[in-house]
Amino acid sequence: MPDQIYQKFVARWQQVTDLPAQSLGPLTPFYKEISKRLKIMPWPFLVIGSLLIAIGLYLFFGTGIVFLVTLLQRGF
Amino acid sequence: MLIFSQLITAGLAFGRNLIGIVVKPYESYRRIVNEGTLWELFFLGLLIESYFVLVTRARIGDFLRLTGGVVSSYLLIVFLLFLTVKLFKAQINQKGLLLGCGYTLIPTTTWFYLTSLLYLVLPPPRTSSLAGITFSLLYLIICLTLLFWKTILVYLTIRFSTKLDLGKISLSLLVISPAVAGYSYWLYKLGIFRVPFI
Repeated sequence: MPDQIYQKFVARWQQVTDLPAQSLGPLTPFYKEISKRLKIMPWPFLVIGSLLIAIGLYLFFGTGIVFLVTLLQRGF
Repeated sequence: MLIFSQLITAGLAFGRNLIGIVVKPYESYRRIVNEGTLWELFFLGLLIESYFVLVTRARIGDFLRLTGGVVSSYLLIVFLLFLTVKLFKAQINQKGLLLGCGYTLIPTTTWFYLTSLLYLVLPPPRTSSLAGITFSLLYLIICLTLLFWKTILVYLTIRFSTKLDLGKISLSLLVISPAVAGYSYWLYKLGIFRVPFI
């Protein structure tokens, strides 16, 4: 039994250390915080981000977003 | 018989990965790049081809041209990424790169399915009424969410198959963007895709 646990630990360790750690200088803690939220079930984060950008687009372009959406809907 | 059993295994893996890239993209992509088989691309191809079969009924379009457009775009992107990453003298897991790039077509296919469905249910043009603006905002939110999802999957593809860091990944994507944009524009001029299927 301890052997199995040890083998699992070694496999997991190899998995984690397989990739070199990401380093972005002073932005590293910020990157780690964002990536933590995107690794598992990123959808709430993605939807909130999209919502903010869509509202920003509306504030910037006004009713021009209607034209953008019309173009996109014809995009396929 | 061996091929049949490999297809069954790949089909099950494809289904599992399809759910995985939605719920746990990081872990799923690690598994896809390290343990996936190229047979999974067969099922990916089936999914994309099923869309083309539907869309050529809904709108004018040539099934073979659409397929050719997707396959050539996919191979171009894989080839350009391969070349660019080689410049950084990184080790490349080629099978992982092929599979990872293939799975990044899932958000694209989702967008195309959704847009085609909305074209039938709520055909354009949109108006500047309250309903038009509300729908436009909702549609933009969905498009942006799918775009961010795709960006995550592209990043994970390159990260796991080449072990490059974020800076070099961003640089690679920047380097290949003009070529991909140019090719997409050429496909648009040929009347194959308006929005590139990449």
